[in-house]
Amino acid sequence: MRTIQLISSDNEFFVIEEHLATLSEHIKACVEDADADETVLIFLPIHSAILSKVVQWANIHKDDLIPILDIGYDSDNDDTVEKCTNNIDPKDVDFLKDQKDILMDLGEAAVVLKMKKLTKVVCKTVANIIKNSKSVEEIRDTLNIKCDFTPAEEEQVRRENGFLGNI
Amino acid sequence: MSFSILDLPSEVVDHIFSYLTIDDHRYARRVCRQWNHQLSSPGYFKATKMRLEQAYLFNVRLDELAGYVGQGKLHCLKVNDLIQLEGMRPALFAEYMKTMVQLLEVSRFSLEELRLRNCPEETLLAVYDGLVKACRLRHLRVDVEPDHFQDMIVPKVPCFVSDSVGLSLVTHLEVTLGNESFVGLVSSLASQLTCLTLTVFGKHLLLRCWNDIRLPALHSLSVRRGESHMPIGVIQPVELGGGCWQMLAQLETFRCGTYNLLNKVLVEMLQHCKKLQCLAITNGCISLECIEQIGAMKGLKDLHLAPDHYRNRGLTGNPPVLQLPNVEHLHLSAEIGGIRLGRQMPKIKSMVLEGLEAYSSPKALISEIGNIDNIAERRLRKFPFIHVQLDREANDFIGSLSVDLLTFENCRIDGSLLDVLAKPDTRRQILRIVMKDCTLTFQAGQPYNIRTVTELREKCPYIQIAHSGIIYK
Repeated sequence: MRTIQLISSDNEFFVIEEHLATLSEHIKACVEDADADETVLIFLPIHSAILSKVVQWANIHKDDLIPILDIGYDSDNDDTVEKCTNNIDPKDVDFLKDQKDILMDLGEAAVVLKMKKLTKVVCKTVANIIKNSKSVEEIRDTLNIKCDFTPAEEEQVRRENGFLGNI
Repeated sequence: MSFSILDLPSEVVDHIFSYLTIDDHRYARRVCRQWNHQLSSPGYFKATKMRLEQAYLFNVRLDELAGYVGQGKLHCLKVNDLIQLEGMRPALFAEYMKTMVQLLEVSRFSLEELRLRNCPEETLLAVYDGLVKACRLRHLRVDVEPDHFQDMIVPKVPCFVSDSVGLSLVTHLEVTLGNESFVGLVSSLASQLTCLTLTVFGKHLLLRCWNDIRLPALHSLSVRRGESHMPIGVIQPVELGGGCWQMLAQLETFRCGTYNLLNKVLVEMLQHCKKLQCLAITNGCISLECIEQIGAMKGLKDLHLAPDHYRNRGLTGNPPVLQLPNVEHLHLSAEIGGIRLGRQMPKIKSMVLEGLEAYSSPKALISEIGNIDNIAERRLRKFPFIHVQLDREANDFIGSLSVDLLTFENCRIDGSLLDVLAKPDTRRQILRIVMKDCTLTFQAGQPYNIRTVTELREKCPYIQIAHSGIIYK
């Protein structure tokens, strides 16, 4: 039996199951040439706190009917479906609900590990935060962004981008 | 928080922004300098396609529209449903027309495709204005929807002025023949068109197009029926003239889905198609003579037959044999069970079996395909089964195939197929198997090695299965 071990930036070991390899193109590429009885060690620049969440996320999707990497069909090319943000898997919504603080770290990890689906889910969640915010201040608060405009600049940007009712 | 959104790689931020609408972008620009900079740089909005609709236009600032598109980035523009906007808000509408002209002028070096649906005459005129300098436009589509037929006059399509560059490169034209002016549009572009798609609501305008317009460069013609409850009529043999025969003689691709419109003339039309390589008949009726005529077209490479009346007509007794030595791609519907295929198809590369009625069984067709010489040793590129019911008897056939990609889409499948697909021999012959929207049925009292998705996962991880249900009887 092939064993895959991920090693986090703070030297913690995670033994993962084969299916996670199919979720991450990075891991897949590392494992590809390994023999069936080999142990593969993969060092990752990701903190154990984040990595454990990624593994947890992957385990949620272990029993999905839809293979996560690629379902083998050209997905609907229609822009409206592609750019829709309210079609996130309920399991992911549940999972990410408690991870607001580390959302960006998850996004970073997903990029490092080349996990398309996780990247997409995180991006959609962030997009939803922006969409659902009532005000600019709320966006800044939730995403922890500091306003670096001078008051005059802010006023100008506001004027340029305010809503115009009727023309 | 350890990590801020501002530290994320810019492609991730781009990905996030791509889910936002232009309205959301305006909010986002006010958040911080970095975002404002990123979203306001002229090349940021990487749209290569854009769709302008009535609802959308109400919310967008005009001067931004052109800005967002960036310099020379837009490849495809779709304009939908502006008819009502014209009536309700004339001033607003006029402003938009001005912006659209700017938009088209800005993207004159990149715009390759333009689709106009339900647009009033003013829009079309504005579009023509904007297109004067377009130098890459190849694909033009002008459509009118049938629900706009009922209570309003179909807008006229202005003919373009021949001294502008704009439309002189258009080679692909798709139009709905709504009124005379659309025929005029086809006529004005006639000398340069290579692909023409016509949506028809009545036979007269179609006949005008076929008989009176000379289309010297045309090699691909599609005709389909527009969605409407009005009867479309049947073209009589005497109504087709020399112009039509001349056009058919030069066609390489002919697709028709016009229900009964061509029933009486189809055989004669096919006789004139001397160079045809690709033929698709997707509804209407196919007669015995028609099958014989198709069998005589030895140059066919791609054949798609899915008529909706077939059994009703003529095919009792001795069904004709389709001898197609050059065919590479064959798409047949399970309903035409009476058809017989020749054994010699040395070039066949892919097939499709599709059911039209509720889960028809392709049993007869499968045995015909099984009789093709060396079909089992042949490497097929793909073989989708779509909307058919596959009994146990089909298993042997499927197990013997040698295919790169085998797909089952919206099919009813007997559970024993999984056992067949799990055999090591099958694995060697079929590289990838995908099941999507299928129903797997397991009969009581029958032995199955694989009964659940988990077992399937374990034993054959190479089978991808999605959105499918399982029934145990």
